[in-house]
Amino acid sequence: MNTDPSTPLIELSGIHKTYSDGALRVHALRDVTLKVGRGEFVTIMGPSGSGKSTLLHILGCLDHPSTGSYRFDGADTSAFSDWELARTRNRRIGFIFQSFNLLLRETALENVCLPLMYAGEPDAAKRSREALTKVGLAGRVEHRPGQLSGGEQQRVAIARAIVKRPDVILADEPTGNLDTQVGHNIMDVFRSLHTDGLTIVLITHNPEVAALGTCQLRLRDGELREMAAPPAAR
Amino acid sequence: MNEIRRIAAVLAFAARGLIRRPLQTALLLVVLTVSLAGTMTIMAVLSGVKQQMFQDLKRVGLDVVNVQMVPDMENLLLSPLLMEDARWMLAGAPGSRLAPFRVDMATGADLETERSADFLLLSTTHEWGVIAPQELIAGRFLKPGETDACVLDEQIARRLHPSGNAIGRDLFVTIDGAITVFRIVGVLKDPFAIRQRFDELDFAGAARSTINRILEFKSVYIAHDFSEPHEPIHGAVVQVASGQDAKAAARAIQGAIDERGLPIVAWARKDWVNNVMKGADLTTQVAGMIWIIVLFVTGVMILTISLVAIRERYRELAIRRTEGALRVQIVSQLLLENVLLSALGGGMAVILARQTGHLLESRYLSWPPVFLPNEMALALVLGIGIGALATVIPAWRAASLDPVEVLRRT
Repeated sequence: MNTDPSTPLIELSGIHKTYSDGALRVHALRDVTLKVGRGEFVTIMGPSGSGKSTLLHILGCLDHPSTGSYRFDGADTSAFSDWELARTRNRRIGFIFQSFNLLLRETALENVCLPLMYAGEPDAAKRSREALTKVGLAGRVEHRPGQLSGGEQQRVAIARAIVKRPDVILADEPTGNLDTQVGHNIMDVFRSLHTDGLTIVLITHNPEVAALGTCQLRLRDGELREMAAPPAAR
Repeated sequence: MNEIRRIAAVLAFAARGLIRRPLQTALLLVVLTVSLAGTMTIMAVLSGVKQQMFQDLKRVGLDVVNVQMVPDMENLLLSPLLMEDARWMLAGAPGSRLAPFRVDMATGADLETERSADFLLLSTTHEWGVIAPQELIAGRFLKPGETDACVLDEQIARRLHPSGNAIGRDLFVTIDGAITVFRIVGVLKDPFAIRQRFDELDFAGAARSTINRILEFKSVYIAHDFSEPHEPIHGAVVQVASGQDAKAAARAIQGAIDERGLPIVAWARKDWVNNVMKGADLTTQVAGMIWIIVLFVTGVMILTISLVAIRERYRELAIRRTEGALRVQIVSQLLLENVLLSALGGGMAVILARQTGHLLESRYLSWPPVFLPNEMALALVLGIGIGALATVIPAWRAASLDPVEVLRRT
């Protein structure tokens, strides 16, 4: 881990991502440049198909850019081995997805334990209970996702993201599958996490959610066009 | 301590993975258990046959050499061997004892039961009962000079007297048209306990006939005085002296016979027993091949089930990858689950096979199936190996999928 606080946690430079389907080439991202400092709350807004999820997958070391450079905490991720990518995802990046991506056969506690188990943490259960308590699910630890409401499932996903004490949380439409009130509750959780000092990159198509970011970006046709946030963030 | 806790946690995790998928787990468990138990039982039954055969064969006397004519009509009629030949025959096996015999095809009948049977009428001395001792079911063996008595073997006794009360009855024996009456004084136990059950089971075809041919000894023994040196004989049983090797004695006797160019063979029963056991070994090897085929088919079935089961888990595995699981961890997890399942299936197969063995023994077999530890261990190792092999390929394939793509599609 880089100890220099001036080093941006996330630094994208001239990122292109192109998908090929036979003769058809789709440019998902075009020349995306972005810096995210520690403790920032960045929201990226854009319509469907604008490349939001692709960007998030690259940020989360789940996908590689076609060209361009991605430095995570000062380290060039293109030089990362599979093991280093997995380790980065496991310990330093928390994911929250629109469809929650919980393991349906596992309990809330087991879902939250998941990253800690792969990290070989000895006190996984204790930390997972604490994380669930933090998101208000202390009484639902033994419930399976099917026994929880959508809002509760998303809280489990948030607990799973924060239990590893990550450097950054990447959230992909976290309120997209929730009704307005539950969505507000979830955003309260995000606000609280940000207040605690967590770096958050959140993707949404909801302007109301996007407005919560300390740095608000707009993605359209694969290009990061509009930057409505304080310029210091970039 | 931490290591133990960690291993326990990993095993518990794998066990949880199995419990959470009861249908797949049960299906795999049934396939594994049944196929392994089936093969274990087959091997145990065959091992039991072998062991029983060996025990039976040992009873015929491993220190005995059989000397007999090459069985053709000319030899039977001319009987080229005479009583006086015994002297030079035994010169190579000093200290041996000999019981000569003549063999005639005969028919015997009991007038009261009105039953008859064909058999070999074996004329010998009372010493046969000492040289090649056989267990008696009832009565005794022949006494010296007892020319009006006979001893039946179990099969003939059963055929003539199904009620089992043969001792003291008269047996009317027809040899070349002449009828002689013998009093039955003993019934010899069939040395081949296994044969009776094969007869009862009525195994079709070659198996039964082969076994029965090997073990065919349907005879009636009568006493005869072989004191005349020029009396022709068909052969003899020779008991080698204590500490002497029966095979070496057989070779020495055969050497003396060959010097004289007689159509007679001498063979140690020990050699015969070994040959029969080699035949049994061959049967076991064939069964082993069948076993391998069964295990291969089982492996293909497990592979198919694993493929479907793992495909159904693509989303779960993609989530695990997203959360930082390495490919090797995913493969290890699936592998451990299947190894655990295979071990469980193997354990259950051992129990099922043993129960099936008991059932077969009590209802159908007269010999106990023998579960050899090395065969059981091999079955377990192969079962676990097959489970592991059938998992590695689909597991690695699943672990190599792009998690983003999988999550997007599912």
